[in-house]
Amino acid sequence: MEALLASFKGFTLGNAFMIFIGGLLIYLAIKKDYEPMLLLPIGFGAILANIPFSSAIGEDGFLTVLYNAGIANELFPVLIFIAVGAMIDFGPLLQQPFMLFFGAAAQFGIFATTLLARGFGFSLKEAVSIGIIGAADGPTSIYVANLFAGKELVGPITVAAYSYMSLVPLIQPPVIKALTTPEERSIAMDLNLHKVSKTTRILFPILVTFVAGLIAPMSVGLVGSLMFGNLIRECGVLNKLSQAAQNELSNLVTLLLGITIGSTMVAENFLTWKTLMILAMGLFAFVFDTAGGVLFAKLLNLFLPRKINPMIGAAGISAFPMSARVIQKIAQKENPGNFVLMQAVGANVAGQVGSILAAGILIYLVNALAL
Amino acid sequence: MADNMLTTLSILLQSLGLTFVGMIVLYTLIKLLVKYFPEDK
Repeated sequence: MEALLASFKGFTLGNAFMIFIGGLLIYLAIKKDYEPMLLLPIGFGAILANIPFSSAIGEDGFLTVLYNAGIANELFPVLIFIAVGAMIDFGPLLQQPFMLFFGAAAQFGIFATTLLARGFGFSLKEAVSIGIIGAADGPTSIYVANLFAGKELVGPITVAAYSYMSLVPLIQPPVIKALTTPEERSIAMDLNLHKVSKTTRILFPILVTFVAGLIAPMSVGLVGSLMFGNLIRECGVLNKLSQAAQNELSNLVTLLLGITIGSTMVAENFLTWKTLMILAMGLFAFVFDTAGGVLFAKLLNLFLPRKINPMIGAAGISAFPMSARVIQKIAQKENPGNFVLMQAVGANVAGQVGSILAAGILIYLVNALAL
Repeated sequence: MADNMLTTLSILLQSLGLTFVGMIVLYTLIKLLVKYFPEDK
């Protein structure tokens, strides 16, 4: 009876609020279909972590074991990247390598947000972790946050990253419309794209790993796993492994990742001004990513003889493939015959590479400072 | 080096620049791959 009372006495208003947040995430996952594969496990993990004296997060609790086995040592993000690599078709990028530059420009949100976070008094390492929300890529956010910001910030940063990724269809259109004219949004793109050979598709992931590793050695873990997954997909002799990476591996790790991240959302760590600021700055990062991509495309249009639809720049954000779909939808709204999906997908996968590269370079430069 | 805004700005500009350099290298790489391995035999 005393143990029961102790449990009730230990239940704080903060715990109640976090359980409400957990319930809200579960509601958004089920009712609104917002990233359900992640928000539902995160929501349930948050509930598990906010029950007083929860055995799930104690020293030997299964969520603590999972955290140490999969997040603290960066294993889960790397495994997710193998799965993502197996899912990505780099064909549209190989057909239009120019799209790579949008994948770099749309990382602008990372840099703007890092600067903003520093202005708000966050340390450089914390600021970079918050800025990486602008990578629009969950595993990269977790990877950097865990490396630089510690357990208490991994939760809010991950929740912000995945929430805004699911909200890309609401965040990007107003930013794009504010920065482009209807005429610009109606620009048609070249539909005659050449075929890419199988040799190119196989050599691409191997060479990218090598080159990206030379430029940013800290990115090898992420780029290497992404490209390994892609090599499994493209080699043509490992279809079973490719399917396993795309389905079983992806589903299993996502499930464990979500519930483990949720378990970091303990009231006393999560209910702080820092969390609110991180959520606000995460939105800022997505807006500036979109703006960076669109404005870069508009800048290029000043010099290019054949104009690019500037919305393609916005697809350089790494939220794959949602961003490309959003761009195609807006393009067709302006001009029902306009088909820009292939270019948008090209920019979108370029964003995936760009976000990992930018993260690897930032990790390297910050570590080099040894602050 | 001190942990101040100037350091942050310097790191961010270097990162942005290096990200673009990385993309230029990858662009060249793809162009070479497509040139030397144009079609499947």
